[in-house]
Amino acid sequence: MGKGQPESFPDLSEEEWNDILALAKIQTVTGLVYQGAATLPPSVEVPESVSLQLMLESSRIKSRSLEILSALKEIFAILREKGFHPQVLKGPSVARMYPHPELRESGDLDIFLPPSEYGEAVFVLGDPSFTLPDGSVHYNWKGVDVDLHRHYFDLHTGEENLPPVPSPYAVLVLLSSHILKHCMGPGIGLRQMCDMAMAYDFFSGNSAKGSDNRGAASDNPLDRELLLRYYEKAGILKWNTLLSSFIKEYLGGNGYPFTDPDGKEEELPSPSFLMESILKGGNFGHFDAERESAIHGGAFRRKLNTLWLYLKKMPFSLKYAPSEFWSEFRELALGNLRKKDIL
Amino acid sequence: MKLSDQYSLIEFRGNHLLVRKGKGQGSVSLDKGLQVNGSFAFLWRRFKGVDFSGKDIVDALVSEYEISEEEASSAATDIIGLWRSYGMIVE
Repeated sequence: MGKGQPESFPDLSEEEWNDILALAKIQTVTGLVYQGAATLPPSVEVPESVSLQLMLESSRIKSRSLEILSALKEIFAILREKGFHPQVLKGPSVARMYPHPELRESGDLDIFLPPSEYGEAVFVLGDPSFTLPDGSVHYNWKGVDVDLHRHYFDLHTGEENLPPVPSPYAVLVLLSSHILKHCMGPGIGLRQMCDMAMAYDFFSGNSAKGSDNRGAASDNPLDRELLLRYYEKAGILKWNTLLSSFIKEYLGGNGYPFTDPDGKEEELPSPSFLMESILKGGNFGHFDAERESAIHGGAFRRKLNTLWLYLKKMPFSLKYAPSEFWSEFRELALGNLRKKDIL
Repeated sequence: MKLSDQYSLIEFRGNHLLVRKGKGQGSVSLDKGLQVNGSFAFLWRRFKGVDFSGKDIVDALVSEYEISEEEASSAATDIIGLWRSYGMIVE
């Protein structure tokens, strides 16, 4: 969010720099580290070997971002020409909130289509490679993994409790609940937390105008009270106090949306255990040793491991999103992740 | 002649790396990139996207580095040779 103090950056050894690089890769934030390191004063030494790796990685990330954008444009053109109304979920729609969107690492493309259009649209893009447990379909579009979704939100609550789609409130509820779901199970990485921080910056009107392409959204800051009501109705208000606390403690946030315009803030819970979990598991928990061993153990062992992860996180889930936890756990235990149409 | 648009120059804290755009998965064909010096980077930035001749490179070097035309000619020959050897020139 560009609010650090580069002049107070400590001197680091080459080993420490390599540790930062390794951590950045695990958390899929290398592009952000590259951008941050580029702003350090000349007096701070960055080892040449690290500089070269950062340059190579940032080039790879930019190249990949372009490929994904290109796939997005092609797919949207095809769908819109047929009269459909696709929307991007996460990924590129969040990247645009960053000062340098091309440096925000993207893995795949998630596209939402309203349920009334979904069935017909699925075969417009050709035959899907496979269907996911929640009914989404997967394609490989010229080297880019694309998932087509009929559900915008991954929440077990009625449509009346959710914000309208599309809207900035919908984006924030989506991003927040996405992080929650991963925290309840496999794990989440730093990139998604950065996404949430950037989204708050973008929609709350805090982002600097004119320095990048984010000015437009900050002209109409969100109604903070309305956002809090949406969180409450969706059953994720308490979870969001923890999320905002994390963003405030580690990512330079100001406690939004739990800080009112006068600067008065609610007491937020300590986010340290969340950071421990992120550091242990990496991007979506992929680097958790327990999970890694289960991946190689066959389908049954993987399912058992997933169930175990949810049980392990139960104290957290029951504290911060109990109703969502029970709904999710019930579906997982029954081995059926198909949902009723929520939206 | 022109510089190939298959390469991009990255600058980072005084270091310069030339990478080749790959296909699929955002891959970089030149595995570790090509580390280049400041004068290479200056010329790359100066002539990227435009038609140029050897004389143009000589003039740019003389102007930027205040060296003799003889020195600049020798340097221009070297750099064009390097570019051709890596397939960075498009006629």
